[in-house]
Amino acid sequence: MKSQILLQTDSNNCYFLNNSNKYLSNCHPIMFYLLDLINRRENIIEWFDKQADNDIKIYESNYSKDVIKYYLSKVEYLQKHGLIKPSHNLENHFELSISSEKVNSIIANVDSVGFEVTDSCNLNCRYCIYGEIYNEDDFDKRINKHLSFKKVKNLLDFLIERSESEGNVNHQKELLVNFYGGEPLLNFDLIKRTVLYLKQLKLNKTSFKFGMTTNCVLLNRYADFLVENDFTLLCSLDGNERNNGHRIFHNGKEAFNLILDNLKSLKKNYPTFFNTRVFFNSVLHNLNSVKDIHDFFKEEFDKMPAISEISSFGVKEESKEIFLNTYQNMKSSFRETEGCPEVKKDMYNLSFEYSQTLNFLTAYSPFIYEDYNHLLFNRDTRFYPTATCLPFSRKIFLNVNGRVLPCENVDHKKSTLGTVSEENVEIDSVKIAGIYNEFYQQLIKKCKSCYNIHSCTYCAFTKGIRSETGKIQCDEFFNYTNLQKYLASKLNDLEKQPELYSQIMKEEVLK
Amino acid sequence: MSKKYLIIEPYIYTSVNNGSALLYNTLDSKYFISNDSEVVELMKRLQNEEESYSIELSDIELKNEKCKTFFSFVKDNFMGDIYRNSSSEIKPMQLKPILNIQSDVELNRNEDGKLELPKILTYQTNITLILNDSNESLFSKIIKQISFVPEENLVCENELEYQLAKRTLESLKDTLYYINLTGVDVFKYYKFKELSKLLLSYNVFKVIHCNISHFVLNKSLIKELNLQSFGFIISISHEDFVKSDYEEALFCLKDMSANFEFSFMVRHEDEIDKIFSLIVDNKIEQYKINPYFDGNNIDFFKNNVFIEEEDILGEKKEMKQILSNEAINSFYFGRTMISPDGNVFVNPGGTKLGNLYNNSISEIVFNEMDDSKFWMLTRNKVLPCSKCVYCNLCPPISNYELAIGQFNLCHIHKNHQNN
Repeated sequence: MKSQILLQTDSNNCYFLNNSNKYLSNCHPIMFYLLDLINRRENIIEWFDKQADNDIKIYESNYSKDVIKYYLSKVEYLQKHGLIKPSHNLENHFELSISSEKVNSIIANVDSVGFEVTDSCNLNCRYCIYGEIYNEDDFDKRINKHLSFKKVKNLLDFLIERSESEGNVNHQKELLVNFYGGEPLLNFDLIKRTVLYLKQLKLNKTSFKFGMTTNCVLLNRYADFLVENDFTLLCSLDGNERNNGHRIFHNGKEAFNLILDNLKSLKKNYPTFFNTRVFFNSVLHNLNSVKDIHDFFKEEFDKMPAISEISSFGVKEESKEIFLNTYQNMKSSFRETEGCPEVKKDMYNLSFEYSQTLNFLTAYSPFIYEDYNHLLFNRDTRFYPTATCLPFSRKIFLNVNGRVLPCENVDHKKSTLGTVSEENVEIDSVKIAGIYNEFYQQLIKKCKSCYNIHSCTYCAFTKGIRSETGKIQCDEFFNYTNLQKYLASKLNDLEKQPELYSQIMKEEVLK
Repeated sequence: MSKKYLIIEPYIYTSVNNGSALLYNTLDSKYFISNDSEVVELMKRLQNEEESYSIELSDIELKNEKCKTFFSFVKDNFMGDIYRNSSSEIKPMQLKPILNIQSDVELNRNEDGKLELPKILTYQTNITLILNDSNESLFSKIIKQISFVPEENLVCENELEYQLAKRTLESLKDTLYYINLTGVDVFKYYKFKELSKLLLSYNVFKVIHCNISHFVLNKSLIKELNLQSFGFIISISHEDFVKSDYEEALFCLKDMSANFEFSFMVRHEDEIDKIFSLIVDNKIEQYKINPYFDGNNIDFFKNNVFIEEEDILGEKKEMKQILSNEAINSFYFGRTMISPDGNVFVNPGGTKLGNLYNNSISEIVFNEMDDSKFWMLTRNKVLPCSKCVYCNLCPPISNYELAIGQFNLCHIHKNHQNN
């Protein structure tokens, strides 16, 4: 594989990246030319010696031999110090094994647990991943089932035992207990029972906070309880009445006005709670736009929502046309706000462009350290294939059928890492380590020739690792040209706003 | 007319302070330092947030002799480039060295200012247990600065309770890299055997600090307990050097294939020669000489310990090291010392962080991360270092600065010459 990635931005500035040590730098066009020769395995000294004329043409400009000689020396200097390499084998950069002890340590330190308290929902949103346009095979059939308190308690007791042990290296860990659905408030009794159970426990190292993702249809009924227990709410709303055209009741009627009334009532009765604990998520589709979403939320609540696209994964073949008519691309919709300075100002940190810049810097800045120990000690810099999280490193999720999953976004059937029944909890760290190690052994076959090792966002659990033909697949695989284009587009953005680099590096927690 | 740019390489560290500007090459330790106002202004612009190590040069700057000297140095030493790219419309940029620590304590506070930092115990990586002590011992004074155990045959009035030590170590089993055992005489500790056996199961660096006479007296015990996996720092007083003790200790250590180092303490000029004579005469290879400030020997420190510019710039420093000096004190970070009464210190001469009889170790570590008294005691927070161009290049603040009562243990002059 080529070690130096050579790229030019739209402004014709030249850069090179050493993909093995993440050294990224602007360079003079002559250096760019020399590095290209190296990539093509040519001997740059021999090339120079062959040049008969005193003036040598490089990329439409003429340079004297003395000038080129300087850059030959510079290349030699950077080679001597390991910043330019002829080629490299990336396979050595990968860690391919996780131990059961590591899995146990992660479980003892998990800081978020999610419960799918019901698969029933009082809305019938057209773009729902459990709806008609998506494959049913990717998840358990929705049968209006409620999760039992016994299962919830079993998993919580399992986690608490480990959280109270020496394996928990936190000081006063706050375990976030999140409730999902369907619509979680349809199983409010379970939520209430869980909260009351946890509140009466007297623990040394663990405390609890609560959160919920809700469509707000039943918000009024349970607002007092949610406020009293300091819930953090993520409310789903796509904008004004027209924008919410896909969020309908089962009888086909609009739900917007009821939801808006509930939110306004919450804001009026509990203004501090509303300001500090209520957040929004809007789905982008054909009935709204980034500007619509901005204008609505600014006027109604003076808050900005997170914005996500409709999932493109698992769409039924026969529903592809409906999907394409409903889908709207976030990048394009943000681009349409170019002429709206207020939208740009309010939503820049939420924009696709900004998140892409964050991802780029996380991947390619050599000055970002995970923690103080990473800064102080020379730690192993190997990484696992793809961006698939380590088991339970983000959260542990229990679905309504008792499947234990690494998060709520994965394929529920194919990503089961354990089970919880009325009688017991089966989370076997040896088995889990085995599942991941098997994944890694399969993934490395593809990853070792991918140029996207630093900025991969591919999750093996969400998208699976095998195509229908059984081959290892990855729709984020990068060849040399893909990486060139990616890097060039990010550097284009930063060239236009160089102050953004300093701002992000000084202020952002990037991961 | 196309523009000319000055672009600095990402491996260059820059510092502008108090009318001086410094460029330091972390690849080969070459440097450029200047007090010329034109150069200092250029450097300030380079550091500016909007410029990102890349600035457009004006005609005045291009013609200024002092700037031209600067440009030549930068280019000749591969610290950057000055060029005109006629086909380029926008200034290029560099990802200049700006430190971002994801777990930075200031980036991880909630809206009420409360620190929310996960896995806090992972930062407690180095622990020293003072197993025994006596109120009148020399050891209790010396330990505030250096690791040196004088030969003292005292009754140890204070001993660290074994169960407290065991509990603390067990709660840190997954996070520690180093465990140090020290005291007036560690081998006299009432639970030395039990503690040693416990530590054999810890896969970390374990070091015993002791005086040579105590080591020799207890060499059978050391062998009996299979302590060859431990490292030894053995203190030798040059005034009471006994050759046979040294030879016996050396033989025992080599026989065990243990890692070891002999430690000397020096307070005055005349002691230096005596110590070096001992070292040469006895062919001592693994040793460390530790200066000790006794309150009256500041001149000795000025002549032998205080550093010069050549010391700061002569030793090659990596960018990671320089950036870490901005954020943490690498001498103190992750370290605690437990005294026999359960008090927890970073430096026994300083404020205690807590007491293990009243506070858990996780609480103590959390408070230190939150208050940042020692672990993040960096030179950019104290005077006069924060106003010095070498601020982040100097070694971290250590016990000496605290013992002597000043942070600048250096002779930094204003006249500069470039390397």
